[in-house]
Parts: sequence; structure tokens; C-alpha cells
Amino acid sequence: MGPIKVPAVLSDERVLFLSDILPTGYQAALNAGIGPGSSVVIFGAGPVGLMSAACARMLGAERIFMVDHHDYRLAFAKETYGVEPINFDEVDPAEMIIQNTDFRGVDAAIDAIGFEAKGSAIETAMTNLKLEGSSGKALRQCIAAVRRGGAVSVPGVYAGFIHGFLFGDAFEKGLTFKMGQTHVQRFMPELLGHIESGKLHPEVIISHRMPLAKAATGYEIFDEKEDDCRKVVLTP
Amino acid sequence: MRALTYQGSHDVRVETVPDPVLQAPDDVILKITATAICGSDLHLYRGKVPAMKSGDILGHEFMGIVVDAGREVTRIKKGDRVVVPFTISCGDCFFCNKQLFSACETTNPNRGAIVNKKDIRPGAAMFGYTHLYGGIP
Repeated sequence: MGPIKVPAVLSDERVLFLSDILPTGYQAALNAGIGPGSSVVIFGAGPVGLMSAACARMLGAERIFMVDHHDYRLAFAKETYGVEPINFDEVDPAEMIIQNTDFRGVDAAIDAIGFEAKGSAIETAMTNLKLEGSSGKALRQCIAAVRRGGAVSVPGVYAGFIHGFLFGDAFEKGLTFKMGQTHVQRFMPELLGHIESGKLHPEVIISHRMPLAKAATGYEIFDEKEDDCRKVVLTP
Repeated sequence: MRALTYQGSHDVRVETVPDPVLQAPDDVILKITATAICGSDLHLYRGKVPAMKSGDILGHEFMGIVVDAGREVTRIKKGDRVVVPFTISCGDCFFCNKQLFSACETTNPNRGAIVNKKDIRPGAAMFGYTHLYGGIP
């Protein structure tokens, strides 16, 4: 079971992200327990972070913080989804969030980064050397930014052992962790409906369009964050 | 057909590969009209994920037109325009019946990325995500 038929009236760009990142962002928002009035921080302003923000808004989130270190990505997220941007090269995101949420923390955190999280030189080195499977930087920030009784939702890919998982703090704060690969088929029909009704416009995140022949360039600019690259779509 | 193949860390190339053919009665052949690069493709691109082989075709966010379908395909037909989920699930196993489609236990002949496996069955196969997840295509 799998492929979903899409109506001719919707262009390819409007429905393509049903294949992965839109259901991933939606599952992340559901796993975070987001509902009307929720506050959330999303770590990573890449495509999954943006889809998470779009879905969080649709589910009624009132306050969305977004963390990244590429200003162009934070600017887009602020302009498109009204997030409060935080650049982690400038401040400690969790500290800033605590200060801005009545010294309590947000209801939920979404880790849309995964195992190659930056921000800890030693953990990045250890992951590169395969001494650890994953950097724990993003998750420690999630744990620190979320209020007691809150939720940490992890769509970001992790593998093997993680360095420095502060389980004691997670216990002290009584947190819930929900994670894993997206159950794409579960959400495709509902999300297609939201696209049809105009509630979701995933295509706005596309920044580059190119023919398949140029795919190597697409990978390069996406990897290097060049040319304000957000999402690359390839056609034959 | 033309496809993007992995040749090594930071080395991907569009090459000509054999056209797909129907192999099983529930197979479908799709003419892809659009595809995108995923952040998780970058883990592969950077050489961070084991079990990639030179020549492996990348890509798991795609859609297109059905150009051929095996005789057991009932839900879609030639000419349909479809979007394909990156997770490959059977729809009727212990996990699919719980709507946990990425945990489907029938589609992945490999082990996935689990470390402390203790003999559990693998989760769903995925398009374009190494020989841990089916080596698909």
C-alpha cells in the first residue's frame, strides 16, 4: 500500500512533499502534543523544521521558537510562519527560551536536526570518528528548553549510541519522548485534504528548481547552504 | 533511464541505468515527474551512513505517472498521477494493522540500523536508503 492519487488541479510542487517531509513535520507536531495555545521550540530551520512549523500553526500553536545558525533560514521561517528566531551561534537557545517563557519553558520541543547536530565540537568529532553514533547537543537543548511535564518530539534521524544524553534531567522534569521514522501512509490522505483546502502550502519552501542532470549541484548547494538554499526540486 | 547515483562521499553523478521492469505481480512502474532532495539524503551524501555501494541510486521523495502495473495491482492503474511514500509497507501485518507503517515487518530483507537487535524483525524498507533498508531500487 502506498502511492496516493492526487488531483490534476494540484501542481506537482504542491503535493510532492506528501512523500516524506510534510507527513514527517505533521507526525513531529502530533508527537509533540501540539494543540490550540501550545508553545513549541523547533530545532533546525530546514525543510522538516519548516513543515513542523506549518503543521504546528495549523494545529493551533500560539508561540513557535525556531533555532538555527543560518540567518537566511531563520528569516524565512519568521516571515512565513511567524516564528521567534534564535541563532545558536549568538545565544544559548534553551536559556533564551526559559527567559522568555516566564522561567518555565515551552510545552514541547521538536528536534528536526538529528545525529549530525552542530554546536559541540567534541561531539561532532566523536561522531565523525564513529566513537559515538550521534551528537547529543540538540537533544540536551530540547530537554533544557521544555517545561516540566512537557514533550520532546524527534523526527531527526539518530543512529547507535548518543553522546551525553542527560536522562537525569529528563526524569527530573517528567518529560515524554516520542520519535521515529514517519508512518507516511497514515497521514497522506488527511494532509492531501489540507493541501486541497488551502490550509497547507508546503510548496512555499522550495528555493531551487533544476533538471535531474544538475542534481549534483543541487546536493552541493543544499549541503553547503549556498545561494540561500532551502529545498531543491528536480524534474526530468 | 537516467538516475542519480552515489559514487562516494560528496560524489553523486547522474548516470544511465537499466530501465525498470515489472518483477512481481504487485509492482508498478512510475514515470517520475518531480523529485526532491531530503535532509536525510545529505547524511548519505556526506558518507555518514554505512552500507552504501558505489552505483546505488538515491532519492526517496518522488511522484509521477503510472506507466505500467502488474496484474495484482488494484488501487491504482496506468495513467494515474501519484505521490509515493518513502516508507515501503505491506498494509496488512502486525504493525501495518496498528498504522505503524514505518515498522512494517514484511518489506525489508536487511537489518536496518538497529544495534542491539536481539532477533527482532526489521522495520519497513525505504526507497534509496542503503543496503540496510532493502537496497532499493
